Amino acid sequence: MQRFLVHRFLQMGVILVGLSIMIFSLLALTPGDPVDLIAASDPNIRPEDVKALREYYGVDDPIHVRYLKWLRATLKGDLGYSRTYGQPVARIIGERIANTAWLLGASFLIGFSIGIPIGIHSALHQYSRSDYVATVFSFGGLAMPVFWQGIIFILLFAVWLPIFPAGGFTQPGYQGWWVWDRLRHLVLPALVLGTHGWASWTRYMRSSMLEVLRQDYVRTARAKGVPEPSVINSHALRNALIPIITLLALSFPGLVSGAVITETVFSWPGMGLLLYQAILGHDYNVAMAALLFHALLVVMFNLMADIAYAIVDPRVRYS
Amino acid sequence: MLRLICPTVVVVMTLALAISLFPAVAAAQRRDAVVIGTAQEPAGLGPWWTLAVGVMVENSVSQELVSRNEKWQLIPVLAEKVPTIKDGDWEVLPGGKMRLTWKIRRGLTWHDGKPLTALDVRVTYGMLRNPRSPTVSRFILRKIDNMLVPNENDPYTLIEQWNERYPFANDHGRDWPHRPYPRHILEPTYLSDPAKLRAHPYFRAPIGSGPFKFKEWVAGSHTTFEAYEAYKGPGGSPRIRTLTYRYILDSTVLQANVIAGQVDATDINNFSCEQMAQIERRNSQVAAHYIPALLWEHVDFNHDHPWLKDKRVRQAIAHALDRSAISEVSCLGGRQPVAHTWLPQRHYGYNPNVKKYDYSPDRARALLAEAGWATVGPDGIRRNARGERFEISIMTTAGNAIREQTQQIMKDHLRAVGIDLKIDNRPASVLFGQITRRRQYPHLVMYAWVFSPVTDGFALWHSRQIPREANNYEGNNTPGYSNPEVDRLEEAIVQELDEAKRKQLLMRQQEIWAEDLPSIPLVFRLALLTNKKSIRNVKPVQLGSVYLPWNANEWQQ
Repeated sequence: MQRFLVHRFLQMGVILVGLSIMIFSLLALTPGDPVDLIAASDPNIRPEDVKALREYYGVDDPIHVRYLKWLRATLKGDLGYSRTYGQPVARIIGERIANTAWLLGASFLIGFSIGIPIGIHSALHQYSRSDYVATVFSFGGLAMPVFWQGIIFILLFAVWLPIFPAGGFTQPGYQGWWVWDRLRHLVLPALVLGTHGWASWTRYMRSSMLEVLRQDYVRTARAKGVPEPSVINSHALRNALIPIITLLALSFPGLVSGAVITETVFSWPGMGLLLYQAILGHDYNVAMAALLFHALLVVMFNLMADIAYAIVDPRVRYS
Repeated sequence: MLRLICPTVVVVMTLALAISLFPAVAAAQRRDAVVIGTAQEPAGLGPWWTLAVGVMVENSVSQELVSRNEKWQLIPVLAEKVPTIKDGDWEVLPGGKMRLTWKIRRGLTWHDGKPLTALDVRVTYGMLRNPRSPTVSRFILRKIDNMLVPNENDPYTLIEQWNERYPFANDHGRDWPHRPYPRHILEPTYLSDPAKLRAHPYFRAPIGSGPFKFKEWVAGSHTTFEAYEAYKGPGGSPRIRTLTYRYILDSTVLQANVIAGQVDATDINNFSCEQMAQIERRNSQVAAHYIPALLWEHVDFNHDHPWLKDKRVRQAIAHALDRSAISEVSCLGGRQPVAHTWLPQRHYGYNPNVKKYDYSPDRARALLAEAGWATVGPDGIRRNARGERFEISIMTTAGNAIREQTQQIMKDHLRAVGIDLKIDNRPASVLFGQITRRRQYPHLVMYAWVFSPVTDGFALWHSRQIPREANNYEGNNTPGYSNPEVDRLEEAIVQELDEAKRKQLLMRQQEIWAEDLPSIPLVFRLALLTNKKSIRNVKPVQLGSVYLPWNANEWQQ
C-alpha cells in the first residue's frame, strides 16, 4: 500500500505539471488579451499608450517565458496577482472555496440523502409503480439543464411564490444571524445542483442494488433463514455500496464543474463564478489557479476512490 | 444503513421547510436601503479600468470637479463653478494655448475627515501623467502641460495649462484628471513606485468625498455604501442610509430580481426591450425607462474592397434594407428611431436634414445596375462585367441575438436585390480585439459606438485615423473612409471653441457623410433602466460617464 501511494503521488505530480502546461497554452491561445479589451473600449487611445500598457501587463513575452515565470512563482507558493481584482490570487481563491464548499456540501447532502434511499427502494420494488415514478423523476432530473432549472426555480420560488431570494449569497445589510441569511440563499442553488445529484444517485444505487440482490450469497442468506431486513442491510446493501463509494469520489469533481453554471445563474460567488469571470476578463493568473484547482480535485478524488475501494472491499489489495 | 438514511431525509426536508417559512420579513428591504442591480461587476475602481460599471460604482463614492445633470448641462460638483470663456476663468492664449482657473469648493472633506483641496487634484494629475502608471488613455493628459496650485495659502485655486485648443476643457469624462484621489493616501505609493498604484488597496476600498462612503465589497456579490452625513456638496447628505450594488451577471436572473422586487433599480442591466415590457407587465410597482442615449448601431463598409469603394453600391445596399424592420427587431412599437446619420439625436450636433435612404428595392436595383452589376445570374445573384458573383460577408459579435436577427433580415433584403450576404461572426473579444482594430473584415461589420456629448468624430472619420500597420493601428476609422473636405471639417471641429460654430461644422460634416455613406446607420439604441416607483427623485441621465444613481443622495423612499 505504501509503495502504491508513493507511486501514485509521483504520478500525480507529473500529471499536474502536464495539465498546467496544457491549460496555460490553451489560455494563451484564446484570442485577445486584457490590453486588447481595454484598448477596444476607448476610441481615443493612442498606439503608444497601448504599447506602454502591453509592457506594463507583460502580455507580449513569449509563451514559454510566461509559463516558466508562472511555474517558478507557483512552486514557491506564490499564485501571483489577479489582474482583475488587484489582490493575491491565493486570497481570492480562499474566499471562493469556502463559498463553493457551502454549495457543494448542501447539494451533496440533498442529492445523496434523497437519491440513495430512493435507489434502494426502487431496487427492492423493481417494476413497481413507485419504481416507475422514481425512474421518471430521476431521468427528468438528469435531463434538465442546470441553467434552465435554475431560472425556473427562481421564477417559481422567488417571483411567483417569493419565499427564497432570487440569487446572491447574502442580503446586504442583513441584521440577523448570518447563518440564516446564508441558508436562505443556499436553498435554491443547492436544490438545483442537488436535483442532478439525487437523480444520478438513484440510478446508480438502483442498478448496484439489483446487481447484488441477484448474487448467490444473498440467495444463500435468505435460504438459511436470515430475516429479510438483515439480508438487505448487512448482506446486500453493504456490498452494493462499494461501487457507490467509488462513484462518490469520482463524481465530486463533476459536481464542481456543475457548480460553474449554477453559481453563474444564482450569482453565488464561488469558484465556478470566479472561473467564468476570470476567463471572460482574461485574468490568466486566476483562471490558471482555478482550473488547476479543479484538476487537483479530479486527481485527488481519483486517488481517494482507489484507497476507499481497498478499505471497503477486502478483496482489493494494492501491492 | 437504511435506518440511518431515512432520518437524514426527514431532517433535510424539515430544514428546507423551516428556512422557507423563516419570516419573509427578513427579506423585505428596509425602506432606507436601496439596492441597484447590474449585469456586470467592476474589475476594479480607479482610472486603470474601463468597464462602465466601475465608473458607475466609483461615482457613488468619489466625485469629479464637474458632472452633467439629467438635461446634460454641465454642473459644478467639487468645483465652485464651471469655467467658461465668457467669465474669463477659461483664457485662450496666443499660440493656441489655454489656461483654466478652477476654484474648489471650501469645506469638502474626504471620508476620513481630511480636507479636499486643489492639491489632491494636482497630485492626481501627476499620478495619471507619470509614464510608469498604467493609465489607459492619455488623450487628454497629453493636451495638458501642467496643473498648478500657485498660492500655498490658497489651496483651493487650481490653474490648468493646456498646450492646445480643446473645446471641452471644462468637461469631465473617463480619461480626465478631473476626479481627484486623496493625496494623503496615495502619494506615498506614487512617490515610491507609480507602477504599484493600481494594486493599492484604495482601489478596492476607496475613501472618497462623495455623499456615500464605502462599507464593503464582497467580490462576486455586492458593494455597499453608507450615507456620509457630513457631505456638503450639491444635493446635500443622502436621505437613504445605504446604497448597494448587486452584481447579477445573468440578465434573466436580474430580471427575475426586478420582478420579485429584490432590487430597487437597475442600470447596465443588459435588458432587451422585450424584457422591459415583461417587467412592466408583471410588476406594476416598477417604472421602466426607455431613454434615448448615445448608442449608435451601424454597419461599416470596408472601403479597401473594390466593389464597396463605389458610392453607388454602398447607397444601393442602404436602399435595399428596410431599417424600420431592423429597428423593430430590437424594440417593438417604433420606440427606437431609425438612424440616418452617425450622431445620435440627443447630441448637440445632430443633423436631422441629411440625405435619407428609404427602403426602396427598385432604387437599389437601379443603382446596382448603374454601378456595373447589371446582369442577374440564374441563381438570382448579380454579376458584374467580369462575371464576378456579388457575394459579400458580414461579421458581428457572435451570440448577440439582436444583431444576429438583424443579419437574417439583411440577408433576405439583399437577396431580393441580387446580393448574396454570408454571415461570419466572431466572439466580442476577437471582433473588437483584432478584427475591427486591424480592419480584418472583408466587406461588412456590424457593431455599435457609444458616444458622449464631447464626441467630435475626428477619430472616426478623419483619413489619418484609418488604422494601418504604418500608423501602428491608430484611430477608429474602421471603414477606411477618406474625404478631403471631411478631413478639413474635422480638423476645424476639434479646434473650434464656439459651440454654435462647431455645431454648424458638425452639421455640414454629416451632410457629406450621409452622401458618401461610409457606414450604414441602423438605429439609435435606447438605454433601458428600471426603478421602483416608490423611489422619488430618480432622474435618468444616461451618458457614458453618468449613470442612474448620479443623484442617489436626493433619492427618497
